[in-house]
Amino acid sequence: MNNSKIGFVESVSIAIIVMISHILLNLPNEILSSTASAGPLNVIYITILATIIFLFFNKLFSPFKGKDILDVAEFVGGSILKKIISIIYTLYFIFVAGILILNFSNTLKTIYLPDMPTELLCLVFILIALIANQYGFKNVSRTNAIVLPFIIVTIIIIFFSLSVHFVPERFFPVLGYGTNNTFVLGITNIFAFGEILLLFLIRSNYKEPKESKKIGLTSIIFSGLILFLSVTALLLIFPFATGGEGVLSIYMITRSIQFGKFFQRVDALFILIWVLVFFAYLSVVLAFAIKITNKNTKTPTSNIPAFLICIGIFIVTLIPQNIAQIRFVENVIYKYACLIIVFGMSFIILLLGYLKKNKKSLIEGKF
Amino acid sequence: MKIIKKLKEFFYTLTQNQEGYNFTISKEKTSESQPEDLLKKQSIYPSLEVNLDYIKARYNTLINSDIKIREFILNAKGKQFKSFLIYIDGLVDTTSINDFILNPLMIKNFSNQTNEPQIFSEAITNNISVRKVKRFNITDYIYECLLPQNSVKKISSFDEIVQNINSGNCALFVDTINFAFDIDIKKFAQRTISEPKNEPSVRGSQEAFVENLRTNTSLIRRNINNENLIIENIVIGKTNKNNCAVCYIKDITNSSLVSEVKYRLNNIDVDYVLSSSELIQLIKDDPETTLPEILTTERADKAVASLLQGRVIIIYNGSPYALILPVTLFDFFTSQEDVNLNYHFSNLLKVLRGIAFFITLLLPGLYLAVTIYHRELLPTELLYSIVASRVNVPFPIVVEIIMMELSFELIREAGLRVPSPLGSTVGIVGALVLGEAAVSANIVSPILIIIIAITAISSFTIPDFSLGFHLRIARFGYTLLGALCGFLGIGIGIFIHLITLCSLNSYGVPYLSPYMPKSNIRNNGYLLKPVWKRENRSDFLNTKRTKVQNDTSMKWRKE
Amino acid sequence: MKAKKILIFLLILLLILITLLGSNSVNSLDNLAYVVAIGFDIKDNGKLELSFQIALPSGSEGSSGSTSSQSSDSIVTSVECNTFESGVNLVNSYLSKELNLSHCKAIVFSEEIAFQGIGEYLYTLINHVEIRPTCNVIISKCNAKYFLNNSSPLLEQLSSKYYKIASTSEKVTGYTYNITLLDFFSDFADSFTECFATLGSVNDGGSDNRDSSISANGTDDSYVASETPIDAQKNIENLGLAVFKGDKLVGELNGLECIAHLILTNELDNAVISVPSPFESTNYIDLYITDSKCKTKVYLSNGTPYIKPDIDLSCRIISMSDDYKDLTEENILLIEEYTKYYIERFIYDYLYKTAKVFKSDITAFGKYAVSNFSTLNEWDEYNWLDNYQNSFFNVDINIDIISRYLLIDT
Repeated sequence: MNNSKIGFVESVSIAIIVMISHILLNLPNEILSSTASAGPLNVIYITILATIIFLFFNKLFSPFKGKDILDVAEFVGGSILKKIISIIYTLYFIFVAGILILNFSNTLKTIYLPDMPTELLCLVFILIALIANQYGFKNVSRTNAIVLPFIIVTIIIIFFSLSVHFVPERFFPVLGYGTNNTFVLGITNIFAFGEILLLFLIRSNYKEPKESKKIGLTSIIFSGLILFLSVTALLLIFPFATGGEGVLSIYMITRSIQFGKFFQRVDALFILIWVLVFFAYLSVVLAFAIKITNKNTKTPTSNIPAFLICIGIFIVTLIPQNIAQIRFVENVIYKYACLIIVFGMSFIILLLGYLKKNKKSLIEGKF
Repeated sequence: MKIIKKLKEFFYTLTQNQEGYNFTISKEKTSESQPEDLLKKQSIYPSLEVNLDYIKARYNTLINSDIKIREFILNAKGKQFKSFLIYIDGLVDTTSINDFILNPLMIKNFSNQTNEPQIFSEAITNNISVRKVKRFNITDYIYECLLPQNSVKKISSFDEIVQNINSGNCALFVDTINFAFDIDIKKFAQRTISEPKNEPSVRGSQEAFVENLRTNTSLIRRNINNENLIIENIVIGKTNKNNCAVCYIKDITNSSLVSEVKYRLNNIDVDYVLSSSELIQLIKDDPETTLPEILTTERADKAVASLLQGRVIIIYNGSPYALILPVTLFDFFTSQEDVNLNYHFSNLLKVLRGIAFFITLLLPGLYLAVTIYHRELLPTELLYSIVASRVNVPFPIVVEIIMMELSFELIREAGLRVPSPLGSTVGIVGALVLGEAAVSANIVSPILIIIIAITAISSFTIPDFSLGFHLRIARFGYTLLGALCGFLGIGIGIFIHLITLCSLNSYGVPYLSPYMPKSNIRNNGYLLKPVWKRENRSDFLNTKRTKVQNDTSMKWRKE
Repeated sequence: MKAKKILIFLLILLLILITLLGSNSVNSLDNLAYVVAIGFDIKDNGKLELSFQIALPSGSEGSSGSTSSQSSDSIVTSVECNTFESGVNLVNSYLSKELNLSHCKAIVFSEEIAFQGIGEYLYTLINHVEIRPTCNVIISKCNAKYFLNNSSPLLEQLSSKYYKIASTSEKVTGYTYNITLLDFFSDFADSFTECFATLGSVNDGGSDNRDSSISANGTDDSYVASETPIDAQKNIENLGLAVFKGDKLVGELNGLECIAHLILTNELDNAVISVPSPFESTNYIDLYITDSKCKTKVYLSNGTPYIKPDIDLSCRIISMSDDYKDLTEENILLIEEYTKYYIERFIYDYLYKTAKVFKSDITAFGKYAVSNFSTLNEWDEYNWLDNYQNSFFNVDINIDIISRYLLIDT
């Protein structure tokens, strides 16, 4: 397993790609529909919050050098807890991957492949992720890191080429639906930073375990910035009445990009990049699911878990019946699953682990 | 039953995740180990007759026409010894044999007649003369006095002596001596050093490698004035024992890299290796990939530059190409011309090549994707002109593009295979007549011809031949994918391409270094830095000395 | 071994894609008919009449070259239908090719249909995958079909290029404003502005019955589309703006009012206005507005908006019927004063027209008003768009005249 050590850039890019792929679907929309014109403010707020939470988690992690959250779970509750936790995480990843694939396949179908069956499109995505995972975790993360700069550049291009259409007055009224909605109910928007979970899981893969704090902060701040840019772009260009409606919000705004009178409708080029992002994202999620399962079942050389997980993802993509259900699953179920699993369960495990470790060292100190 | 077993094996391979061969360049250690002589020794018999029979049997002298065995009586200090010379006609310098081997050995001159002891020194003090006298020893005497040759070795193993004879040496067997003298008198017809034909350069040196190993090593040795340049010989092949030279600079190159290279070369179990290109396939990391993992060059200055960067050069006898390793993808975009130009110009060229790389790879696929799926991307007027140009064309664009790609590849192959005087004719017939006629017959649209032509021209700007091949293969894949599902297909292609690139290694160096995994891009990025800022050797090579020059290389400016 | 495995997966992938190709109705680009412009009309029986202007890319027939200067590079097909999509389908069944709307440059609504409201079509159009949001929205004073039929370009080969270039001419004149579908829809959906569109019509080219009494104050910029006294071939003309309230047309603005609109929205690039000369009542001075800035403040007092635009203009005298010697400092100040009065008057006219006559805030003053509210609920309760008609205005204008002549002394 020596060759699955990854460096700083790869780790950061894994975390950011998660954020970006959610942004491309409808994360900014989700935030805007609950906060309206206070969206950017809310983003800044949850970014700061996420940073604080991460620092706190990092503190809890401090006694466990070079270990990931599964190791902590094993330390707390033995192999049974570890198994339960890892099954929950695997199911979470399967669920997330399935929903995202389904959503993106539907998007592609709407945009330019009207005759393609969604199931087959999903299958194509899963196959690609499976192929990518034949190359191992390290190469998946490296590819991820190569794709990332392109997508960041496209988001910046989208932001600046649309800035001619911006109406800065749309920032007003500053508080949107009021302070309560922005700062109290708005906390739930922290699910946008579900990527923190991945950071807990790759801790054991860091080349330099000391860098974990740096990696976490960089990825949270970076993805907060990207989220801010896209939420702002979406808010300033569209009246907020329509902002909440479109599923393909970012795609909608790219349609109005034009470079001079000659180059119009360049949105297809962005799709090319987004396809890459989704492949990268899916392979990362699959890689994580495989990593957890392999660690759990102690079958590091077998491919069978990968097949099973892929089948699981495919089954998830078949469940929702229509677009309303997909949106419900993505906006509501995903949101709360993410909040519970990432910020709730992980927190409890870490806290218990920290306390147990401290108690142990206290007792040892006494004798 | 057999089928079931095979299926079982197949599924087993599908489900197992094998780790490939993995070598990484470790950080440098200081300990050095001497390469041991791996040749199996089989000693020469003391009896001349036996030796003669052995040699005759081994060389099949009865039917082998160019093996010459010259038996004669050796004359040393008045004593006669039976002996024989063996050499291969055509590989040796016969005048040297006559004048400098046979002549001193056979002619009975005066000093050779007397059997007086050899006097080393004579000192007379108080009328007592003290003489240091050496006892007569036939082997020493022949070696020291009778062979006026610069390169004479005593070899006691038949295998070794046979190998040397095969490479053009001449062996002297003397009765009662249980070893043979190996005398280097190679001389054979060979190509002289000429201009590099396939990697031309305007400002660079005009010396290219030739087929002869020794000439090639001399080209390198001449350009590197440093005694730490090591040129090691390794024999490859069981039947055809051919030499290959591993060159590196001892105090720069990473020693684990050198030993890995030697390890791989020494562990090639084949009967023969015909050329360096065949050797590449035997020693590259990932044999299945179409991407080149070892850089070849015919330019001596490029090889020298690589040596000084801390890489290893392999020169195979009989092949005018030196192999440079390890390499990264970006090395295939460099031409030796780059360093000869001002860095602004070479960076312009490099950017141009990068663009050409993408055009070669993607243009036909993108054209298909855009015209079939993403028509809104085209500016309206351009769309109209494409539609107008296709009004009378009967084929779908996919068929059209595959047809033209195929005929272009045919023209290319035909141009290479016909005798060179006909080559230009093929080009004219193929490109001009066919293209023009196809357009005027409304078989293909003129815009498509432009697309194919741009792709072809771009593919010629890639300096490396084998990378060009990879691009050609990949281009067909992209064309197919673009036709099947537009940008989604192109995306699939790019993603799989990327991940393959990430997974490749060239002798422990990741293929996309220094960008992924990110290492220090000090002067080994895609773009060149000015000469005075190339301070460091590539980080991924883990060289013993990392600095090339100090921060202020232009010390005269300090005044 | 690994490579073999990956190869197998790739083959499966390729197989899937190839099966998809079979099910995918691949439309190569020559199976499509490219629509340049779409026209919306309403029939007397209340049915929708859709007109499509379809481009005919001139194929290079043999060796005749492409310079066959036929006037008809496009045809207009129209169909009577209930909804937009069914209209497209009906045309598809009539034509041998499938309509493709991705290169549509203009969407034309006739006045009648605009009076009845175009909201439903707008949602269809903005949600259509093919139609680009950057195409222009034109409200035609005449029949949309008639408008498309007469859109044969005078100086261009391709009608699509014509639409593109025609829409840029507003940058020079300032008599109309180029509205894209996205702008229009965004204004329509916004809570602080109303939408407006380019006003177009077919100018008969000085043929017959022109009502010469329209130009009320006698300047050249008081025309709306189709009224310009041009003596030329019959062609379309975009001049003035169509003003909407909600999704219904409520009125139109002429060229001068459009300049006022552009000044207030900070969109004016260049414009020429003719100001009556202070020296001789029958003469005019032509001013070229080179730079215009407008800072607007909106205050709310007791729920009544108090709007205070602060306009800063730089002008250049480009022609003047009087002798140039008269351009002394006092005279320039006099011209400035006069111009200021003139511009102030037509801006007040414009504001009055939008607030009291049309009751529609197309100037988007609402976006300045919105900063007075802290939450969205308060803003929604206030309902700016209905309150706009109660506004008070106080326009502050500052004019700089830079006269630059080739000849000073004659």
